[in-house]
Amino acid sequence: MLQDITIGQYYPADSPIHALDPRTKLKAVFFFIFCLFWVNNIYGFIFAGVFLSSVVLSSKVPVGYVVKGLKPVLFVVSLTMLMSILTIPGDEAFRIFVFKGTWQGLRQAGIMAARIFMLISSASMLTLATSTIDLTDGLEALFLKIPLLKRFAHDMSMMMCIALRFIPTLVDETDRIMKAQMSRGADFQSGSFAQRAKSFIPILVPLFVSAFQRAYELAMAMESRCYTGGEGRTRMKLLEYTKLDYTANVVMVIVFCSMVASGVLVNR
Amino acid sequence: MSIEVRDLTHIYAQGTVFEQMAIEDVSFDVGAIDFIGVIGPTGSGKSTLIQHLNRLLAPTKGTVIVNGIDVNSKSVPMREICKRVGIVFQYPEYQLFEETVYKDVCFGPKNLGFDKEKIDFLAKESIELVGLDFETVKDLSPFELSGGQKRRVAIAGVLAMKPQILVLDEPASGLDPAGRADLLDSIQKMNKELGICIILVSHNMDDVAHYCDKVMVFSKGRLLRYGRTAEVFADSDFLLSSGLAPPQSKQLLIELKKRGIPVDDSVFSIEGAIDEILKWHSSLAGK
Ligand SMILES: Nc1ncnc2c1ncn2[C@@H]1O[C@H](COP(=O)(O)OP(=O)(O)O)[C@@H](O)[C@H]1O
Ligand SMILES: [Mg+2]
Repeated sequence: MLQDITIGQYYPADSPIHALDPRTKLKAVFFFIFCLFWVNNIYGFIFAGVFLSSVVLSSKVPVGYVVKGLKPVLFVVSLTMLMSILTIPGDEAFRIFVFKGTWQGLRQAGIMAARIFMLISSASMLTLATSTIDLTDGLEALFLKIPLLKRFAHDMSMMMCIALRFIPTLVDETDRIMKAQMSRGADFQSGSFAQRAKSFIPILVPLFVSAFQRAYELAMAMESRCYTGGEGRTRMKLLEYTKLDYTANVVMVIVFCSMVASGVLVNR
Repeated sequence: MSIEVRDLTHIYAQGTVFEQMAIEDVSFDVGAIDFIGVIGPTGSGKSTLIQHLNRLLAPTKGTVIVNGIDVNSKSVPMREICKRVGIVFQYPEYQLFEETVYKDVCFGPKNLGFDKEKIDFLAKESIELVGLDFETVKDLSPFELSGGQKRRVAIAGVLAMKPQILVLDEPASGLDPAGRADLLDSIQKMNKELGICIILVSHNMDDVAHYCDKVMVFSKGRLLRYGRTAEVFADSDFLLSSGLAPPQSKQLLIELKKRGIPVDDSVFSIEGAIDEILKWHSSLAGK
């Protein structure tokens, strides 16, 4: 019943996107999201959309997986779209009772929705096509380049690695506890909002208890294997850029420049 | 018949790379007061099967009928099913959440909408049934109990719903031998004295051989054999070939026979093995 949660899920496949260096992919997502905020017209979104779709297609990850990742934000996005259509002042496009929808509002709503969907899709694409270990290695390598974060690079990536590693475990655990409580007649679907919120106590309490238990056990296990932090640790797998990464960099520079340019030039 | 399962198939994550056939074309009937053991190696589909008995999983194919009602029929509310089938999952102590043992045990019957007096009675009855003293434990926090006691409280929480069928997934795993025997004895009492149908999933062949009247053997998602315990355990080649070891007492008899000692190795209970060895011993003395 929790199969819809795809955040942080990895989809193994043999594709050029999977083969890219994690640092390249991290940088790509970072700059892509950054550029998305410069885009404010149809041309820019076409550039971005074509780029994103070709990444999704060449990654061999079924499109359904990427779309599923959008489900959690669907409600919030629809709500904000509605708000901006109705509240942004401008020329009337339609009218329902007393509510006036404006062209400017529609435009703004469309831009915002496109931005959020692309932002989420690119982030899920990153995790779908990058294994957890690669991802944290990549993050650590990038953090090491940032002076302020350098000291904590290892700790941060270790924490992230553990957090990501435990997402599926906690999802499984939640599923198990939910099933156990449902077998005892618990009902999570019906009732008022307050009732439904209260019905989650029988899940949350056991979940917290076992999460703390796991954390404690993991800390013990790491300590008993003499883990003392990042100092002096060597790596088994070294990250190395290949020709594929250089190609990707060139493609990205072109796409990202076009996105920003379309935003800056067309609207002047 | 209290349970009728027909052509039950379950495929996890159908249509993705993670697709996994967990059970395939399983059909069986269970009588109203049977005590059934379900055995099979890890990953053979035992846990998947039992989750179909109270609609936690929907079949990919097939039907499950419990006491005449179709478990997957939309017109039957989940609570009606919970009244009939109680499932105790592996490590049920992870489901405890209330401040006191008493409150936790009341959670199930309360959800079923029983009245206050009935809930009170059922809570007391089921805590005593699992072998705990009601007055001593009722006001304790479930989190300050020992592992074995927590397990008992969790089982009491399911029993308090008065199910006609009680399904237990490895209820004794991780308990010490004495706790194990105690717990299984209480479960046997529920079957013999209260007439509750028991389905016991277990890894432990000795437990199954000792307590169950009938046995289902699963392997790779298929129901390989279903019959009286004596018949299933008589065939040790079959057990070994499906990845299971015969009960220890039987292994002993097999080894003795191999060494030329005239014992009957189709016996599988501890008492039977003792008899066989004594028989051989007295035949020696007779010479
Ligand atoms: N939630 C799940 N998602 C995907 N596959 C699962 C899930 N649960 C079990 N499986 C798979 O189904 C098969 C049967 O598992 P299970 O019913 O747990 O067996 P058992 O209880 O006999 O050990 C296994 O191969 C297991 O990997
Ligand atoms: Mg299991």
